[in-house]
Amino acid sequence: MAAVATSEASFVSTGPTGLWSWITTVDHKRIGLLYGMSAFFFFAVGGLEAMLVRFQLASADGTVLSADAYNQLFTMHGLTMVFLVVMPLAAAFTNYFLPIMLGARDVAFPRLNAFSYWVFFFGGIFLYSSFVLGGGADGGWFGYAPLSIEIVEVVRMDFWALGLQFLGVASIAASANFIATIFTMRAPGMTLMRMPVFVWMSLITAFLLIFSLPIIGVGLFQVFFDRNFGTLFYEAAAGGDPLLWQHLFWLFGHPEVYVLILPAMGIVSEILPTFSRKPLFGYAFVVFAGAAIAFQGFGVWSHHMFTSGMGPLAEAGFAVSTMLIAVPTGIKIFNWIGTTWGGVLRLKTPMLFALGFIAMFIIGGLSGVTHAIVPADTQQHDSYYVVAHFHYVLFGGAIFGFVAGVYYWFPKWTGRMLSELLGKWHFWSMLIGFNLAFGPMHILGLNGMPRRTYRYPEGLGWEFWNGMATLGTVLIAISFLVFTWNLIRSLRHGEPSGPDPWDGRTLEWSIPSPPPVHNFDEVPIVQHLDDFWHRKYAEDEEGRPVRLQPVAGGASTVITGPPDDSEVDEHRESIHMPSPSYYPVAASFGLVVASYGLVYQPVGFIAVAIGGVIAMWAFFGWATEPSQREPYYV
Amino acid sequence: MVALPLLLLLAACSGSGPQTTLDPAGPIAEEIDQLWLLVFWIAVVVFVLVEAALVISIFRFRERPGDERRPKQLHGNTRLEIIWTIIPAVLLAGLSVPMLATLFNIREVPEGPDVLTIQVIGHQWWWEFQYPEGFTTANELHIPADTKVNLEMTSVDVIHSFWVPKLNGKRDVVPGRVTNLTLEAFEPTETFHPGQCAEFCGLAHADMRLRVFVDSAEDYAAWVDSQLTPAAVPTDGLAGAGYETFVNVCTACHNATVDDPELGVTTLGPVGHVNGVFADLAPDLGHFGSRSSFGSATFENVADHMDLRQWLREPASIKPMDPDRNIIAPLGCAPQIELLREGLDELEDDLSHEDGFSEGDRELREAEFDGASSLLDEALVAEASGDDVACVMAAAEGADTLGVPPPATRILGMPNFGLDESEIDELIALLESWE
Repeated sequence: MAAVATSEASFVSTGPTGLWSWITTVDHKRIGLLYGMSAFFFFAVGGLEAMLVRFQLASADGTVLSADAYNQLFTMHGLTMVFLVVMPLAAAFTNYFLPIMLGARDVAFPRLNAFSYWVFFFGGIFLYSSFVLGGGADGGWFGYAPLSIEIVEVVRMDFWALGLQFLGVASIAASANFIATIFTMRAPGMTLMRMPVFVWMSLITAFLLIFSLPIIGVGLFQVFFDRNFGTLFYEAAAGGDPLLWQHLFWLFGHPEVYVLILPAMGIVSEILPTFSRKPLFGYAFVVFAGAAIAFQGFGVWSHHMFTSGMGPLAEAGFAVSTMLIAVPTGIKIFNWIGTTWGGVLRLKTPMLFALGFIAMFIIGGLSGVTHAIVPADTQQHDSYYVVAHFHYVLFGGAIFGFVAGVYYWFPKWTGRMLSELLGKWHFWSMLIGFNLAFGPMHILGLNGMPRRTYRYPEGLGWEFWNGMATLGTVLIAISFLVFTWNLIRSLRHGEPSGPDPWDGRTLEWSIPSPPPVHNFDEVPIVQHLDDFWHRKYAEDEEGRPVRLQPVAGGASTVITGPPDDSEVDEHRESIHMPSPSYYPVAASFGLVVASYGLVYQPVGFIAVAIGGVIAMWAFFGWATEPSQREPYYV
Repeated sequence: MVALPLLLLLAACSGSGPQTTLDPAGPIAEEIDQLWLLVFWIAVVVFVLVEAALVISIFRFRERPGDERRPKQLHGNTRLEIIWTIIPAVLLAGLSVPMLATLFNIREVPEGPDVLTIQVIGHQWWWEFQYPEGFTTANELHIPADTKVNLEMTSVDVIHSFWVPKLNGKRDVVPGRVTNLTLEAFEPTETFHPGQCAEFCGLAHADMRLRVFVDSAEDYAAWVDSQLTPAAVPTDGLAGAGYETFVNVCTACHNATVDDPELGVTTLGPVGHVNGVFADLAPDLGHFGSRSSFGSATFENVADHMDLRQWLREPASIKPMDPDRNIIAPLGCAPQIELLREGLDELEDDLSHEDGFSEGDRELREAEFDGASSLLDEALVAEASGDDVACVMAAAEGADTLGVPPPATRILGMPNFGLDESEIDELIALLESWE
């Protein structure tokens, strides 16, 4: 029996192979990789949409796109980048590394984890299928009512309303799973304050999602009911209130901003210490600053509505709360710089991207503070200045952070290194392209260029910087081609990395690359923050690290590769791994069938019934399925 | 890494273009600009300090070939943490003082005899301006210099946002609500201050522009006079033929107040409430010839009329629109009276039954019935005297008292009427004669 399941290593995973094994997998690492690959695909799609938008705007009175096509593309670009790229990228890293960093063998609910992924996957397909079923969503990712309920005879915004609802389900399920994993599955000795910052940020993000997604869920149902069943939540002429939607949306939407950035901040907080050869400066302050951001993040939503007419008192309150959120954000930045200070900075590609993250995030943070200045914001709001701001935060921030994460952990996924040379080309072209694309948008916005306009006339002085911005986008596209080539090339020809290529600090570097299905042969016993580092280094009396000599078999063993069979033998019977299951994918499939039915009711109620039956069957099968059908052997 | 954003920041300091926020032309915009400059320079200082710390750290502590340093394992420093928590907090608290002062200043709604109040109605995708003197114009706002102008704004369809950067920040125009924005300009403009809708409002959001002309007191008075003068009805020539087309085709949606030789001063076209707002269905064309632009200030109204001709041939070919999805509820006096009558009949029927009402409720409904009945009489009197506007207002108020929902209207553009070239010439001749 043992021979059947013994690690048949592919490049990115160990364990059984074949398409069916991926569809039915409940392994958190594979699900992480699925999230990552899907997000990368959608990143290419969303990037292409951005390119078309930029080509249209490259000169005055552009004719590349029609107004209708433009509105679909900018809407879908926003939706894609938020819901189908940055959120799943965070899910990818969290899925893969959260259990390993905690010293666990999987997440708390492996099948729920698979369900989350497949709901996300079908949600993405659902959202994009509207392009061939009447056009992409065209009311903005924010879908302000009553514009989003205005044209009910076209199904575009039905796909938007149900698609976001669908993706929300995926995120809520994943968040519940991560929270349960963190609270119940930490290795012995892994106290909360010994958890890596990335795990902390994942925990905070999960709570943000659990509390914020139901709010937009309510709003999305209202929009869908207004559109399809004649309710009047947002119909002003009948006494409905269009501003209600804005409050619900941003009460979700602002915490969502931190959902997008906190995981990247977590990644950067892992990379900086590793490449500075110093522990994170002010660990507790970085952690609590993250928590403070999350709490405050629920009290600032109306700064997205400073021009909506809330009255000066409400505006003053939200302005001050928004300014204060800069304080914990500043704490993080100062601690990151403090981490590098006095270290030995190895400027490898992951470190370059992490430093680029800090440099760009400072700009995005400062322009964010200027939005809190309400009078100034009445000029900046809905102008390109805002577009510049949030791209500095979400691209200069989140994307730089995630790319840093890819360079950092690629060796762990594949056992191979990415090319440093290509990595440096990637970094510099992306940094320059990014600033060329989004820097000028500050100027455009201040010079009065509004967002979401498919064309602008000559004579307003916007041509030059728009041209530059488009040029920058091209450079960004080239940088990602370099990245893609680096990924493909290194997958086959990259230098073997071994388990710990960066002299890492956290538990994932203590296990082989790629990790075995069960992650740890022996559940580690954690004694320190950065436990793996402390297994490798002691400190002399000056507080400087001294390398320990690996001692075979001892508690402080440095595990440098997969253990040989003789070591594993005695543990064989004791490792419980969940069996693959097709119920999660079947349940998500049922739900997406039902969603299509809802778009096309009343006839579609047939599909709702069929999808409902499939989902109920799957949930029932899931509930009664034995958690382990056949024994798993290492 | 730092040079490029710095250069951009410096470039950002000098505003350029007629729609810039950085070259204010009125006291409110100037107050905002001064606050912005204060914040901007503070941000630049913080930016330089923090980025410099980062860059210095990178250069000073980067690993060099053969580097054997073993860095001290520092875990943090509570005193530093307290310092870099308190300094930003104090800085931001200090910044909030001028911010709040300016905020309450610019949000004050001006009152008094010197204030000019103009009703602004947002439409997909054009602006309607109703002046206190009783005339209406579209997309081109004239205001006197050195005067506080209070815009009372609402929308008949979706949310728009009124933005003329040189005079003030933007303010959303929300259906079902009235929002205010104050405009004030230092001096008359040579041309105009351009502005545009800043809240995404659908297909032609980009082409929902407007122009603000700031006039001297005398020029403004003269302009008001000209707008109050009804358009002449031409009887012969190209314009005369154009008038026939105008009455037969255009007045289905557009208004024009004309001085008809037989009927006297009369308003052509539908008058009424659009989705509960007293508003036009389409831009008032009575003074089209006096405007510098058309198509919501997207196209120049110039002598060669190239764009105007194309607009009349096939409107959707030059401005995005979707007239196939128009829903036009009947406007005008007669349909409004009909609506009110139906409501009254229904209520009368309900009241004729003994049960179904509690005592207080019955009294309330009877009072409503009486109120609405007298408004119906008022509307009928107005109809008889030919005052369409008063008739519509009274009938709509009556329907509102009864809670009769107004019929929904959705206009997403101008249909293609298949006019031939000579009809187009005639129409243009007419419209240009209406100054």
